[in-house]
Amino acid sequence: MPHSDAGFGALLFALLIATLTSATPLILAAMGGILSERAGVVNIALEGLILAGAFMGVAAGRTSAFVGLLAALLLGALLGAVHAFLTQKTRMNHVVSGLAITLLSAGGTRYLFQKLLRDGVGIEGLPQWFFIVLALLLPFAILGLLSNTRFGLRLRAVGENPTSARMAGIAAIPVRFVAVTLSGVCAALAGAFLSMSVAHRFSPDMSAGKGFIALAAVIFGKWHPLGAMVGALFFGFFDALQSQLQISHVHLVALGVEWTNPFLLDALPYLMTLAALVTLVGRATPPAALGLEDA
Amino acid sequence: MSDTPAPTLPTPVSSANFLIRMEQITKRFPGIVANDKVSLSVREGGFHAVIGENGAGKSTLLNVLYGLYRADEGRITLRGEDVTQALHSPADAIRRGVGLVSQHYALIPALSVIENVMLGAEPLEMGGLLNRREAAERIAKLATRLGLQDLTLNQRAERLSVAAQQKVEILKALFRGANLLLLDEPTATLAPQEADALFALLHSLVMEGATVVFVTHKLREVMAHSDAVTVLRGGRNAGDFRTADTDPDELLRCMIGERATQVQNSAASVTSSPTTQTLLRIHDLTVRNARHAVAVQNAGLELRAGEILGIAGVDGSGQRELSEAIVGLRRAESGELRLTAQSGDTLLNPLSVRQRQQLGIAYIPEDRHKAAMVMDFSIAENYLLGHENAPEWGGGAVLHASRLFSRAMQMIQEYDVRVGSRDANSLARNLSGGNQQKVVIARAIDSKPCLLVACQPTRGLDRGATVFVYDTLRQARARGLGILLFSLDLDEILELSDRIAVMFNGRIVGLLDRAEATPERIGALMTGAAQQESAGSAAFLPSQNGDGSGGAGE
Amino acid sequence: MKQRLLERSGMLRPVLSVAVGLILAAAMMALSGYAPGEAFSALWTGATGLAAGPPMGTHDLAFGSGHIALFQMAQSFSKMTPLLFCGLAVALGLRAGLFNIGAQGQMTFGALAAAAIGMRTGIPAAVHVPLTLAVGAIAGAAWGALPGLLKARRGVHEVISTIMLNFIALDIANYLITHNLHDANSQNPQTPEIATSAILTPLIPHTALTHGLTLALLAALAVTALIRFTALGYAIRAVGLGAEAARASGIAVPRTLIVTMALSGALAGVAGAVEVMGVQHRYAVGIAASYGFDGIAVALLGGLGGLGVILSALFFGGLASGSSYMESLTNVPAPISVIIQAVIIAFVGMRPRPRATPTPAVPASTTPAPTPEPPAERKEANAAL
Repeated sequence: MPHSDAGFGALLFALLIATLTSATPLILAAMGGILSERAGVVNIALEGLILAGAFMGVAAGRTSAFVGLLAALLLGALLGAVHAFLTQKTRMNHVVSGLAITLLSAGGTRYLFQKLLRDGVGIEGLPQWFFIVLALLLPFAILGLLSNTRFGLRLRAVGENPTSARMAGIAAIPVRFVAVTLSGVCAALAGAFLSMSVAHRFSPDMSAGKGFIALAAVIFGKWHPLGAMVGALFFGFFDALQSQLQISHVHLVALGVEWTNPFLLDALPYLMTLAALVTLVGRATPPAALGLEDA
Repeated sequence: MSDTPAPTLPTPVSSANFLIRMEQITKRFPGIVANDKVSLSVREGGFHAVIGENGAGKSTLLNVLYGLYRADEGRITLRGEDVTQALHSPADAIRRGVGLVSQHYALIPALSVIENVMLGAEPLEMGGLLNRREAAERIAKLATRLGLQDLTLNQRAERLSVAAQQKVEILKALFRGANLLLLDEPTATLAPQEADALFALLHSLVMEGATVVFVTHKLREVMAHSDAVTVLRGGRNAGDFRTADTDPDELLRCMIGERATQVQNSAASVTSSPTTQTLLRIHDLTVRNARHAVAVQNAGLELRAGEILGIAGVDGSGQRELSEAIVGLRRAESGELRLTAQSGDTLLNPLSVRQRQQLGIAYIPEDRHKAAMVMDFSIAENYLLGHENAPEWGGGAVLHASRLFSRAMQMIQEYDVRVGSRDANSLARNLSGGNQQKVVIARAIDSKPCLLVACQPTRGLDRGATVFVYDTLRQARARGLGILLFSLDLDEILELSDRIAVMFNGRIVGLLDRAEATPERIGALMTGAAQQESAGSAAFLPSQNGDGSGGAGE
Repeated sequence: MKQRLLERSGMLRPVLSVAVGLILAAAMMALSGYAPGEAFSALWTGATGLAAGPPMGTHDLAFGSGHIALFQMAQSFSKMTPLLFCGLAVALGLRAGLFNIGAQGQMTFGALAAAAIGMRTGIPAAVHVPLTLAVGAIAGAAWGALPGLLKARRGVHEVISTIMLNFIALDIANYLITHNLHDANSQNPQTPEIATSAILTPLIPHTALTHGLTLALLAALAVTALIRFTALGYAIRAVGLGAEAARASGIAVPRTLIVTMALSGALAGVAGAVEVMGVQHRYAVGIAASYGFDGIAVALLGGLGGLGVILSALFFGGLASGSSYMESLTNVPAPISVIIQAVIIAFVGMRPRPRATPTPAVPASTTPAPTPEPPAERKEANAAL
């Protein structure tokens, strides 16, 4: 058929773009996860940080997109610092702290949304390419940071063995504070992308689990920035695939199940994330001091 | 209080002679005074030993000097400068030329050698980037001095042998310009030859102007290497000596007070008469470790009932994997484990930990805190561990708490476990190490096993607890148990064993009767410097070099 | 240690945390332009039913100088029911060192399964009710055992796997209620109404309070008994407090983890079944609301003991009922209860920095530890994410 090649090519291209778009928030949030976890702090709060960034970007971005972005990053940094404070100063269990921040963010953004953004007015926001390029470059920057800078070395040391680091004269807490605060910035960036560039508005729970998928990407990538990026692209692909299938109205029924039903398609990225973690070849080794509460 | 008045160092003409003076240092922790008005003075260029039993406060003193702890009272003077208030953290000590070589938490395994050495003193180029080239140059110079010429800088630190890791630790200190080296039990995991090499190195550094303070409980080392000794007992000073003016007996008396030195040479006192009945037969066993590298290679051994078979080796020689394979915590890749007991002849390989327990294999894990006890369980609950399904406790359905409690109280009496109010409900974490170990051993022995696998059973214990453990093991042996004693402590192996097997690089490279075992011979086997032809009932492969390249047999 | 985070020094910490949460909520309300006093009064009435003024409707009982709005009170208790089940589910998981964030999905499947069996006719009530509850429990158990299995055998951290399974469960449920299990008589995405033989009758007419609450209280008792008196409970605690020691002593750690997650899922599944059988009488979108997540807060606030979880569920049940009443009366958005939850969790979870101890980060012991194990070797239930 004369149009099939062009049509197929167009479909592939659309899929590629959609993959990049879906993967961008995952990559950005995953970089936050890398920074935090390589320093030894489990970061379940990514989901809440994304939501916070998404909300702030829209709420403060009505006048100027730049202001909105800045405000989102600052809020991300603030919440990141709270996570650092709770885990390092009050020795809270990392998962509990992350859950508390995610809950706070989910409840807080929903509360403020109901109060302030009910009108549903969209904002112009920022162009997508800005975030996509950032997402493609950031992993390399983070890799460079970790391998070649003094801060990066200390961050890794503190995440592997804070006691040895202390013996070498490096205090773990300040390093972790910086690392976790930066991770908040990265995650907020992901949220800002979702609200300011994709949806152009905020809706409660718009993060839809992306923070957790980003964490899965970190594990899948064995805590290496480029590996996490690959993981994020992988999961982003399935997200893009399911939305493309929905758009294209493809219909597939087998064994009495309508596999292309929007509900079931929606489950695809989560399913693939789970499958990827299950089939990880050889258990991934996390940073040795990750999650230890007394280290 | 010591009986004999402790001779003190001659009063210095000027304090400029002293590199360090620690005066009346007191350091308290909740429930314990680790250092009670302790004083330590070290001459510049000196080779000073600090000795005492486990728990005497030696490490604490060193840690105070290194800035890891703040002294509650007292004064520290370094090169004439009062630094008591200035030592907030190791960074402050490092800046003043103090280096600490501590055995644990030494290097960070996942980081490369060069990164480990650089950490905290990183040379930088523009923009805050690490200057690896400069670091590598500086390290190369230092490495030659330390006999580490072939050091590959970019390999992960975990690939180094323990002895090499320790040298890198010293390199790390020198990299920061330390000229006062503090070493905490430096030879605890080294074979005798490696320990000698370490001391030779330290002496050469002293000749170049460094000062060394080392903590140990081995009097041999003190007499052979130090020029001055400070003895601590119970957190207090018990004596200061010039090594030349004293002898091991006097030092020992100082270390342990009036208590009789009954541990010396008591090996001969309890008769051991092992039967010829084979209890456990290990044949051609190969075991992989967590990273799938071969940790135990074609090992063969026989343990007889009524004997203590000590298994010596340096850290990483495969002891841990072998003990885990015997107990059931790790699957053997190939080979056979056979138990011959009342139940008959059983192949252990397919059996689980619990099944092997039920056959009469008891286990004392080496990591008391993580593997032997649940710290947040009570003593009674810990005593139950492993037997929660036993009929006497309810057979799995309902646990008879009161019955358990009274049985645990009985155990506490029998084994003299010191706990606050003699209460079996006390949490395990509130016991001292020695008392925790008593509970672990009680649990193992009370289960009436036929085979006991004991790993590092006296690690971190003071002399009193150590004596208790040794006595308990000997009594168990007298009752006919077969005991496999895995230990990194050569003295302990020599103290208790009837026969000694030596592991090196995953293989069993030697099997000796106690009578023919000397530290030198064992040390040579431990470090692979010598191989031994097959002896007795053990089976060996033809000798090969450790890296498997295959060499001519000896 | 996950289980240690549930230890509390008596009642002080939880009560204090609740107080802080409420104070912060008041501050947030004031900052948003609402009158905290008015809002809290509505919250109180919505939670307890106690209100000023004379009885107003048929459902009000005179009480002192005011009245009890029975409906509101019943609401609190009826919300307490799934919260108690889910709180028990999470608490049980925590005992074994597992963070079961999946109570939401487990409850969803329990509700779905209960609706599927509940809608069958011709079964006598004496059989139908326990059968439906059992089916709900089994469905929840299966959805809970799955992440347990993944953790035990493949080391997949349960936080991520349970969260993924929550999303998947919701998607599957949404699909089924619009297709195979769809109520043909309605446009709404829901199942048909369940048969009367499967309905739990309300204890107070026209309310949602049923014997589901009794069941929940019995479950709390059962879980406490399990943990305290059985060998399985002992094994669960050992795995949670010292997985390595448990393993070295012969306890089958993987099996214990799976069983714990299955039991945990079963509890959440029953929560779903009770919601279907006693409140909505069908599976409709949102039936599981956020009970699964709220269960986490219930467990963390309630601590280890069964009584603590019961009291905690009572509090959060009141908070849930109260905040929706408050929103309808004062326009203060209901999500403020989520904020309160978050603050409570944070404050309960704080632990004071210990003063230096003799076994500090650098142990005073002089005999060295052996070469550190590679992290993959660590079998602790608190494996890293």
